[in-house]
Amino acid sequence: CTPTVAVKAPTEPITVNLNVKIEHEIRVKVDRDLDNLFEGKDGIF
Amino acid sequence: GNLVSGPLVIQHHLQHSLKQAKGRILFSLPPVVFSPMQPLSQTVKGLPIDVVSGQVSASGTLSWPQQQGSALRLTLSDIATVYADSFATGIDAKLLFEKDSGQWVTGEPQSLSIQSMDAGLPLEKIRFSLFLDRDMDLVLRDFAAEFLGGKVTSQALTWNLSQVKRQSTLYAQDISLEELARVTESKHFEAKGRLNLTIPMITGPDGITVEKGHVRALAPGGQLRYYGAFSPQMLADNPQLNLIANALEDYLFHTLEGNMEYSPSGDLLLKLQLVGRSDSVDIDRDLIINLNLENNIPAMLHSLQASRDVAEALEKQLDQ
Amino acid sequence: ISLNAAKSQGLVGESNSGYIAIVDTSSPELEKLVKQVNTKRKAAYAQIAKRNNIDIAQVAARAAEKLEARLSPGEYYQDNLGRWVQK
Repeated sequence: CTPTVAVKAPTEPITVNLNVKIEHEIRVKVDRDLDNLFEGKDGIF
Repeated sequence: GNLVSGPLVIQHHLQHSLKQAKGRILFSLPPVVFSPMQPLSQTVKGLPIDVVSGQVSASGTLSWPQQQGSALRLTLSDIATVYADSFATGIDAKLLFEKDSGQWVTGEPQSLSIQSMDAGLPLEKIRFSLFLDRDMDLVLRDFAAEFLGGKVTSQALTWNLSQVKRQSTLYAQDISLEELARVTESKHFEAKGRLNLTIPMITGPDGITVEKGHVRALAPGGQLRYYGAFSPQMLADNPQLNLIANALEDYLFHTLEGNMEYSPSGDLLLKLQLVGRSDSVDIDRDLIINLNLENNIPAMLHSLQASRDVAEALEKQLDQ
Repeated sequence: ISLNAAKSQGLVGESNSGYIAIVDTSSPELEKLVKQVNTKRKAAYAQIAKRNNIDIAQVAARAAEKLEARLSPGEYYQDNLGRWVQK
């Protein structure tokens, strides 16, 4: 008899590694505004 | 005699016997009513916290020299307080503090209830009994509150006022992911499911630290939907991102478990494993997501408070 | 005296509120410098607060955190209990 090879779809699980860092929108914008402010030349920082 | 400062009228009666250089002063502060138009900060300047509603009455005895027998009785009814951009309303308490070898302590348990507290995320129906003992341990015993559709409880939350480290454990049950997504107004994100958390906390001079907190989703699990956040360009030549985007588009999980760390800087780190399935990835195979999620809590709370009119939210609470 | 000179000599430092303050002994010149610098800072913070429609106190608090990180060694800042600390 001829061996029958049944092609079975793989069943072992798929694994996804996910690293998520939640940046808080307000915080990001304010930080950028402050950084620009600190770079200013008017010598108050 | 009377000491008058704004609405604060303090009647006091002084007894001092020169011979033994012993004395006592009995004082009572008749009920003072605060309102948004006449807050505490109008009379007492420079406090980081303001009282904007409710009634306070206090009485006590101060005796010297050893101050043994000194006592302070404080009654708070329906107090509302504001601290930076957070507020608390419906604070009721009858507190008795006594002087014990130089320290103010609480005699028997002092029950305290707070209708709601909002620092960005609402905490409601807060109940605990307050202890302050000789080692300066401030203990909230039998703590219970409602949070995000579930409950938060602890036998004892301890904070030492003289910078000594203390351990407490906080339990959260039935925390709704749906409620969390709604309250944090997160765009692109929908979630269903309920979580139980066990949070061992260390309070100390630099703040709160959590090590090996535990998170688990209740059966039968839940759903995560994160959509429309990846632009076509991002997805164009990135198979891994495509897989993730598809996976998260409609992911049903039956298992979610992991642990959490929290440091005084406010960074919360969640290491979770989710087991479930996403039909858009593969109908017949399980999909395991190992998720490392980092989120700064103070920044999140600030953003939440910044994105709404806190004064209006406070008024709405007071009108109830 | 310039702000940088006053800072490096430890005369003024970054307070925990986002503004500068005199660390130890005061003097009319230092008082003037502190007043001038803080007035300009307040105006700048107010602008950022308005643009992001948040409270100026939040901008100032965030500025304090960033300013402390920017300090060079030897300069002074206030810790969260308000005590002066040298970086």
